[in-house]
Amino acid sequence: MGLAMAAVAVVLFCVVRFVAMPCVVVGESMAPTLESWDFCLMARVHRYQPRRGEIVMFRTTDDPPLYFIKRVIGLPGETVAIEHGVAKVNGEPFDEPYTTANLTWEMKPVTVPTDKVFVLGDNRDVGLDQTLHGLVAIRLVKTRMLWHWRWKK
Amino acid sequence: MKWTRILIFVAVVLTAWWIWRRVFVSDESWIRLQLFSMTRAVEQGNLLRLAGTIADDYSDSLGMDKSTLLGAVRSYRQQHEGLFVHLSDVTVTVEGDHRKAQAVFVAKVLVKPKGGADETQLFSDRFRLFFRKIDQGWKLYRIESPELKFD
Repeated sequence: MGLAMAAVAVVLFCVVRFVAMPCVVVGESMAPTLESWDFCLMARVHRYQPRRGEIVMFRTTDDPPLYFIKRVIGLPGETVAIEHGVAKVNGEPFDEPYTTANLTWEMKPVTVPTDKVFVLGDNRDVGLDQTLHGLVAIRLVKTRMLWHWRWKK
Repeated sequence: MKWTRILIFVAVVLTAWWIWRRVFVSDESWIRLQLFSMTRAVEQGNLLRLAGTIADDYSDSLGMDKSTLLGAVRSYRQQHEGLFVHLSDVTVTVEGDHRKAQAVFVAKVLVKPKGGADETQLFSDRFRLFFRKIDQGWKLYRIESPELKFD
């Protein structure tokens, strides 16, 4: 019995450490997709291969770090801009069915460096200057979202 | 008999260690205790205790002085019926002359607004607190919320 429990603990530790980890969302910046207290299962990534539209968790480089969950909008080498609330990638409007445009959002074109991605929250109800957005080093992306569950209605 | 001696020896060692810790508390431990005390004071809305941990010349990047800060805490506390603060990743650095120190940590705050809204709110942020030794005690004289770095 003890051995079985130890084995389960070791397997759980390895899964959380190397494969996938659970997390609880703090804040409303990803609403309506994710809201505070939502439970997420995040897949750990060793070298993140950016994919547009993917929800990722990244850290700051400071110590102690803070962790954020945002959506990848711009990939390396692309130019991202926001015009009248509509996100544009390389000058083309980017379809975002998970949110509604905030017409007050304006951002001049930003070219994404080769080692970074451009991230944005889904919640567009707040002012652009009030929400965290912008370029994040790819090496700081630690996990990507696999699944989420809203237990608190 | 042998086990009695071992037990007495362990008890003596533990007591000596406890007395040592009580008498010779390191600066780092003092500051950690101070942080704990400040956190409890904010949670309980105990402004008197909180005021005792803040230096009279307190200032911060938001332009608040000691009385403004205490007023802000009181106002925030009055608007929320439940407040829980958890500090994680606390790092304390004491300067060489043992007169100044910094504490950096991530604060997770869980609050429940008063009246109507039954939704609890949760947010977290990183803070840097600056302490100075005044009258053999450590007092807070500045708070910063460090800029976030993503590269």
